[in-house]
Amino acid sequence: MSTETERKIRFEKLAREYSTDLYRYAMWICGNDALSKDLVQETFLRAWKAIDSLQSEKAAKSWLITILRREYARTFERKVPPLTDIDGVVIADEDELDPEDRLERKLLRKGMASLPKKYREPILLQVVMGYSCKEISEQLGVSKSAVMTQLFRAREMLKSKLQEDGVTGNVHELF
Amino acid sequence: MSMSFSEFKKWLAADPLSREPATVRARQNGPEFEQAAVEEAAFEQKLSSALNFSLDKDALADEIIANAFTEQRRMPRWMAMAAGLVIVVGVAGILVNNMVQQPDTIEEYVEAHYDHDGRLLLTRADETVSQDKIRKIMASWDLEASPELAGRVTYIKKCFTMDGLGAHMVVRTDQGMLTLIVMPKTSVNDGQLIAFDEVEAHLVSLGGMSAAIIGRPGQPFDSVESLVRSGISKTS
Repeated sequence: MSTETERKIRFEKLAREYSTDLYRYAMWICGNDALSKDLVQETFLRAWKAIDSLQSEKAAKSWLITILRREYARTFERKVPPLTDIDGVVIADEDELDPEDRLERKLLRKGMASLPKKYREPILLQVVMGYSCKEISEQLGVSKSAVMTQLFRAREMLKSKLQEDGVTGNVHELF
Repeated sequence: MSMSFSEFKKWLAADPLSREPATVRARQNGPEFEQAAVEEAAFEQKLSSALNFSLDKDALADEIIANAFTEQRRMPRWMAMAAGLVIVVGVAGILVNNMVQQPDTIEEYVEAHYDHDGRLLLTRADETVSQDKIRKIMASWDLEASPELAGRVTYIKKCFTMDGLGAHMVVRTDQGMLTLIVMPKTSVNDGQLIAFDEVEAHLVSLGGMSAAIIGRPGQPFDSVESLVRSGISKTS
């Protein structure tokens, strides 16, 4: 097998395994479909050019998210308007939910969109990318205890928003 | 030392799926501990469901793979195009080197290109594309698209032509979507019609460059053709 073919097969495997997770991650930080696709595309273009530097497949996810975060900070962050509500940009879910669950999902998404980046990013890495607290601390370059605190606060804020919005009952404007 | 209930709740909210021995042990400290763990797991399920929204996994990966491979100019152009084709139909990439035939004519090129991913990309009808992306791609050849044309583009990517890279677009019309391939370095016979597989391609000569408009018979080729003639120009 040629080296070129090996590289292509390796790259294709990475793209098929991680592109949707990276796109979800990008959506939650960009809040814009076109920008998120560009960000993920740019991430994989950089990955393709540097694929020989990836030593182990086990490190691929972390490598890709590092590229994406750098690319976001380098080029995309200044283009992104403040993320206030993700409802307009997420793809309609196909699963059947009863109205109460649908409301909770919308409130959680709204809450997530309004979380400060400091709290949003660790919880995205945990829930969307499946990172452990240790991996999050390595990715973000902060201590594990700081990550634990950020995750705890992020969930507390989300629960609190869920409760507030549920109680104040802005239900109709959410459907 | 055993974990207090408040410590346990904090730990749970930070890492609800933790399997660390300390948290597993703490769950057995009493019914309120177990109840808190169950409630946190239920919340986590809702959160995960809210954040991990549905996506067409293959379409996104196909696009990434095709764009990455077409960006690599060291690779022979038709090998790259065939690699994309091979991926789309799910055949192993290792066969690519042996199976590619470079088209000799514009007719073969248009048909092969459209068969490669033309139909798939038409399904992106509901998507929007940023004007910035259109501008950037067209600027690769010192070209620009008029606002009237760009406003109808629902998808754009770089693609292979017979003479280097070009742009593959999906254009919205009142009678459905049309495919537009801009070929910055290819000359064609203006007005030539190519029919294949229940679609037809109208070739438009634009000086040293050209375009192919591909759609079903009966679609408004004329209006898109005039948009293309007046809407694609060299940047000043």
